[in-house]
Order: sequence, then C-alpha cells, then structure tokens
Amino acid sequence: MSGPLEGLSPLEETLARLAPVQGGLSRDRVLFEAGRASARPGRTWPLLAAGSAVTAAVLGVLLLTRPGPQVVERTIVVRVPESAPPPAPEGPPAGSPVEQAEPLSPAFALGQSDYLRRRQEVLRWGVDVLPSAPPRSPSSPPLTPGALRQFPELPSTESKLF
Amino acid sequence: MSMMGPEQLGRLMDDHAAALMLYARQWCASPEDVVQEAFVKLAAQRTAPTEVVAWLYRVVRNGSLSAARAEQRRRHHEARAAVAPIWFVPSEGDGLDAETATRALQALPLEQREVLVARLWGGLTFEQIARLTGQSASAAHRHYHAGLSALRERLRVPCPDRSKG
Repeated sequence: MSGPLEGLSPLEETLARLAPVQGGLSRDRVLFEAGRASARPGRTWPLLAAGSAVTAAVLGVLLLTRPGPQVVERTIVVRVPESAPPPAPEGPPAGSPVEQAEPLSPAFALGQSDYLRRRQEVLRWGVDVLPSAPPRSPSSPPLTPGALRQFPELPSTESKLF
Repeated sequence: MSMMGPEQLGRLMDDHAAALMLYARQWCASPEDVVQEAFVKLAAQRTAPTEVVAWLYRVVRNGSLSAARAEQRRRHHEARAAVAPIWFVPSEGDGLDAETATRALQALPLEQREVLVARLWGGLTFEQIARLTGQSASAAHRHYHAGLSALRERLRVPCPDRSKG
C-alpha cells in the first residue's frame, strides 16, 4: 500500500489490516512480461522489411506480365541524289555518220533508283523478274553483214598488235 | 521521469499488486490478467507517469471494465459460480473473518465498494479517487462513508464513540 492512513476508525483499521489475496498473479511472470514489453523493438524495421517485400512482389508481377518487344514496321524512303548528267559532247566528228540510238523502251529506261530496285529484285528473285525485251520496231531494217560494214570503223587496238 | 526499472517495478508489485487485484475483483473474475497487463503497460511506458499508483489504478479499472464486458457475454449461458472466491487472506487471531468481510463488501453497491477499496487498500487520496472514478472529491468522500456505515451494520461493529476522539 502507498502509506499508512491516518485518523482511521477501528473499523477502518480492522478492514485495512485484511490482506487482499494475491491470487494467481505470479511476480516473476509479470516481471518477465514487463521486461519483454519494455525491450520490444520499434516497428520501423518490420515496416521497412514489409515495404521492401511488397515492392519486390509488385516488380516481379510487372516483370512477368510485361508484353514482349513489338515489331514496328516503317517505310523509310531513301532519296538518292541524282548525279549530274555528263556534259554533252560538243558534236560528232566531221565525216562520221551520226548514229541515231534507238530509244529505250520504258521498261529499260530506268533511273538510278529504279536500277537499284531492279537489282535488288534480281538478286532476290532471279532474272525471271526482268521484263522481256521489247520487239524491235518493224520500221528498222534487219541487221545484215552489209549494214554492219557501214558502221564507222573504230580504232582497233588488236590491229596494232599484229 | 525516465523508464521504469525492474527494481522499481518489483517494489511496486510487492506493495500494490494485491490491492490492485482486490480493486479489479470489483468488476471482473480474472483480476490476475488485468493487473499483469497493467504492470506490463507500465513497463512499456517511455516515461513513467507522475502518479504511478493512481495511474495503475486507472489502467486496472479500464481493464477490469473491458474484462467484465467480455465475461458478461461469456457468462450468458453459464451458471454463476457456486462458490465466490474469498477476497482476503484468512486472518489468524481476533481479526475480522476474511469470508465475512468478503461477503459484506460484496453486498455493497459498486460505487461504494470501489471507493472503499481504493481508499483502504489502495491508499489513494479522495482527490485521486475522484479523478479515477470521474466524480467529485466530495462525492467520493460521501460514497466512502456510506459504504463504511453499511459495513458497520453488516459486521455489527458498534459505532465509534465520537466524544472520545
């Protein structure tokens, strides 16, 4: 008790002399539980550990449910600058017949970019993808040995060798 | 005040545990658990309360009321215990019989019993009892003397001769 009570009547003194039953209260057990309660660590580390575990779980789920890499098809137009046309010859040499070149058909009159594309197609699919040569125009005469002789003689290097 | 040390806690237990048990018995049938919980709570306090004994009584009172509510639900289908436990250690000699004192105290209204126990066995002042029970000090004083008069009648103790004192 906290201290002797003063000025008590005989009845109060008689009652106060009665000792309350301690019952099943164990002093050692109470002190043990009290010591454990006073030494109980804070909740900081358990909360941090729980937060880290939750974060790891969320990241794992995100990793498992992440979609694969998507293939994006894009058409890229590469513009190849056209090379400057070669300077036109000043003129045919005198006395030499002017050869009129036969105009190429649209299938063969390809620009440089078309040429590259055609080359890619030939490399990929073979020569069968090339269009057939256009028939010669009926107005032009058939090529005969006589007509060949009419071509201007080119400077031959072989004749000089022999 | 800093944290409660084990020696101080043990001394408090030696001095007040039995009276706190008696105080808790006014409401519940498992005072051991309530008192133990109160001491454990006291040990867990970062700073010890200013009035430790009064603080313990308040915690025991709150715990006993909670335990009483739980027991009331549990007892709904159970018969009341045939033999009520004796609240006091049987005294040797010509002292008051423990069982008689228990019966007489149990027959008092709760507000009188509470004040009597807190005053006689807890050693609390009427101001502390008033704060503990949520009433005025004069009301606590009035309940105390009413309970004492009722006990005197039940125990057939003659009224003290006031002319002597």
